[in-house]
Amino acid sequence: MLPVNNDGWVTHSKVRQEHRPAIEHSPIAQVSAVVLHRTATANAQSVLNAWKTKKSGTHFLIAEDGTIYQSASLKKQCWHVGQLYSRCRKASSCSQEDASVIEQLLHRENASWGEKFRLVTRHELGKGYPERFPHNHDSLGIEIVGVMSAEKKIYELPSAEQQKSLFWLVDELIRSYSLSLTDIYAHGDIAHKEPSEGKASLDAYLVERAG
Amino acid sequence: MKAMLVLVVALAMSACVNTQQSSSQQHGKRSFSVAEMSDEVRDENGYGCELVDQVDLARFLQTADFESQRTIHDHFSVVGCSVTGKISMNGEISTFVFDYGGIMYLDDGRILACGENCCGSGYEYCTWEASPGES
Repeated sequence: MLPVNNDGWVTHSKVRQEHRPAIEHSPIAQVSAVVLHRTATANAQSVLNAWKTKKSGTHFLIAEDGTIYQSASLKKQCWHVGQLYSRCRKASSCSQEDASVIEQLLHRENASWGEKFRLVTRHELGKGYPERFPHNHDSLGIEIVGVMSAEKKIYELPSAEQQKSLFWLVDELIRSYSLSLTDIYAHGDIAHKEPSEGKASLDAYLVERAG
Repeated sequence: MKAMLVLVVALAMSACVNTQQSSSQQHGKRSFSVAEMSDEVRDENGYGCELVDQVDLARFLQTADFESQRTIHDHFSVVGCSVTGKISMNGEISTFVFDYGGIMYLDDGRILACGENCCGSGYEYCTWEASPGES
């Protein structure tokens, strides 16, 4: 179990605090999931610099050498998820009524794709987790430094050092918040981002734990 | 089967420098020619997307800016509907993938995206968010 102080900061020696108040928002009521991200950068420092002023970010950042930074309190929401997929639509399990509403939102005339996705996200947030995918108010985010291949449009694999740190951190978060393996998500699976974002990290973790 | 689409968009953009994004934007004269585009949409999420028309693509090419991977990651959404083709830009030929989120990936790694100068007036291929927020 992660040692966490009253302010929501991990006190374990494996985690370095790099507080970025700009990415902290409302209090987080309950942590139901963890979302794995990739930075689309080659190093952690550029991300830590950006988080001095940006409003979006994640609670944790795993650097290129495997160093784990905590940049937001675990008691605060971070804006890291973005525009959600409809979970039931993805699983082909929506009720007829719900499916109809979602299709209407997705095919709204004279609306940009961004507007459609915001409407779908708002609709999904009317549901409880895990009926929908996790969002900012009920999940923690972990960014892992890594860029996307221009040719293949997929993110590079996390290094051995990054994987070691990620596995340890996810294990600790699962224990601390009584989560299960199904509560760990790749960003590209739940939101309209590059489909490969976080997938290699999640797959590596699940293979490790299944073995 | 490939449909030939010829679009020539000559841009004489002002030479002013945007100090906030000077590294990711090109200013000055730009010349595009989309020489070839697939006539089928790859639709990964089953959204039933129709083929982007020439007018909309021309608007994109006229007003999109070059952005970094990180900016795309933070400020844009991916739709999963895309078309592929070949583009000539300032005389250089590149293949491209155009995602309907207003993101064009060139084979040399550069990314054109529909941001502040391109979005608006109900333009369909816009997912840009200046300040990505709670939802």
